[in-house]
Amino acid sequence: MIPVLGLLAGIVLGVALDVSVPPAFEPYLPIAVIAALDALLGAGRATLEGVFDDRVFVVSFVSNVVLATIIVFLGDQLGVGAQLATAVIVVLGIRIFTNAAAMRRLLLGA
Amino acid sequence: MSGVTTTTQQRSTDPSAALVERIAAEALNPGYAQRAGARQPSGHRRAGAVLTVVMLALVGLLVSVLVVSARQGAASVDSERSSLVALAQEAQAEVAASTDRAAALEAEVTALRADALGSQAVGRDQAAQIESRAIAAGPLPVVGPGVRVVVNDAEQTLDSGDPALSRVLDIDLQQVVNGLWESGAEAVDINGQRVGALTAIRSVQDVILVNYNAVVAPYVVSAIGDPRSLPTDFLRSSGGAWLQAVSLSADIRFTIDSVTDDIEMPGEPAGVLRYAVPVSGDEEGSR
Repeated sequence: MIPVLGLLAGIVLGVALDVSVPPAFEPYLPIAVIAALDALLGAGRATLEGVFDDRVFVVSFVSNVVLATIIVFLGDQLGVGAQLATAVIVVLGIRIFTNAAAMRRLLLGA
Repeated sequence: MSGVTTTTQQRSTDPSAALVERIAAEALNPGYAQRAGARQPSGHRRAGAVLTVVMLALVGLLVSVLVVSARQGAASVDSERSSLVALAQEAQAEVAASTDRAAALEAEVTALRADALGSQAVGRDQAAQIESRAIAAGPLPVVGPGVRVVVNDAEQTLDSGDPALSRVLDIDLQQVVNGLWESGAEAVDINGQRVGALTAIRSVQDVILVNYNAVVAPYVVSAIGDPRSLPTDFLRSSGGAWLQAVSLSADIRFTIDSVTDDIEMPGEPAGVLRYAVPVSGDEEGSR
């Protein structure tokens, strides 16, 4: 319950505070968000399967966001930023869908 | 996962599907399963829970910031576009207003000049002189009898040679216009484009521009002048000779007709003088 409240608090803060993203970081924000969503969905599935562990979640969340951003940043420096961003989004997208499907099976049994 | 057995079968057949299946199989961080065995029930549980909540708040923050900034970006693109459109419309309206104002001022100048010059005999002479110069220079619309020279492309391109040569070229029209001036024309116009002091006749790609407006075949070159002498004088001029030569060599078709009815010609579109300025009264007096 409290973790969900934390999530909602973050959303409210983001809308209310009108945080301006530094222009240098702006291209990587979508990738960071996708990586964060991946960690979030993984945590949700782990919770439903009864194997949730906060250390694993925190580490996977931070490393996901940082790694995805660094990969795309490196790709930008090498001139293949768009392709690498696509690769990251495909991989994370598949994981997000798979985890969402697993959660759906666990929650609804279908 | 339920699809593990099918996964191993597909892996050997289709590498890209195998890749997708592997990503899907490891969708749940394997760390959860590893840690599930060796769970430490106490110790840093509280700190871990707090960190979890903080991370979740961070997820929410990231998502909402992204949504807000993406919306702002779209909105700023929209507003930029509409402000550009508004700027363009404003500028167009300004141009239209300025053109109207220029026409009104020009009419005023003409009226004032007529007033100032009309009262004395010398003034009337000057007014007539100004008018005739304006007609010759091209800015005033005129009517009068004259000659009409119609020049047209060859009906068939010649078997040999450049197909471009069987079309009327800008030099043909230049020669015709020069020939007409030479034989006493007082005003010349090509397909409704008045030829004035600043008119250029030139080709861009395959299109002939007169006063920077495209004209297309057949080219009707009208000239105001004596309808009886102008046609024969023109045929004898350099322009007439040029036309006869190109009709022989390239099958360019042309007709010359004298017109006793009034030929109406518009004024030359006002050119912008960037360098030429009128001589001021002082300088004129000192000479």
